[in-house]
Amino acid sequence: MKKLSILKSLVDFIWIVTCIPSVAVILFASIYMFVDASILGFVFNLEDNEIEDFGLSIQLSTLLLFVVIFVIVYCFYLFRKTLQCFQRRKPFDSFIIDTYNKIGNMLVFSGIGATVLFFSFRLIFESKFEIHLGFSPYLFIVCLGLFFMVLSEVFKVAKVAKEENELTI
Amino acid sequence: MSIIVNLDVMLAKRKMKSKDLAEIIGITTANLSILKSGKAKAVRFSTLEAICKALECQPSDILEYVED
Repeated sequence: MKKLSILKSLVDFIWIVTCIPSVAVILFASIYMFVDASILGFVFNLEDNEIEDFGLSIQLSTLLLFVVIFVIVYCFYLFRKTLQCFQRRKPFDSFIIDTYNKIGNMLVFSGIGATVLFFSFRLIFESKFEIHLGFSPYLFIVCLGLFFMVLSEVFKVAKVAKEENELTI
Repeated sequence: MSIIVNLDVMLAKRKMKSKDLAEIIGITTANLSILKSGKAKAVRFSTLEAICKALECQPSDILEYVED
């Protein structure tokens, strides 16, 4: 279980250093962008001279993007909670099965959502029709989501096998 | 479940206590209780053999099939 401790420490580190501040920044930016739209320049990493007039549609698209990021952060939080369950030596708990299924569904939603969002963004605002069929982070998120759903099914099968084994006299 | 475990009947016939049988066949009383109550999903041949040996009976004396 040494590997589990290392994984838990790394996940805790990422959670504290990256996720908690990013949630705060996202919450702040999602409200402040309606007050001062120039903050979107920081969000999209634009230089000062590149900042254009950010309309309401871009603000709403950014809000949707924030929702997707927020969902991914929440998935990471749930994953962290399942690791705590593993540490308590309860690998086949129904909480883990349900949580992995939930994480899978949310990641698939996020991956598809982000893909649709960026595709629409380029189509509407840049008038570019681009479909990336190669290895993209969004496709990777969808794969990860499906993997979690498969993992949930595997754990469900394992739970039944474990119960049957325990009831074999 | 359509398989009935008649271990209680056999124990009464042999005037043996569950605790004693559990000790002889080498399983815990909790597991024997699971077996007696019919909650068990499976019985190992080794366990069945030990029970038959201890109670001097046949597997059919312990297990019975009843149609649902």
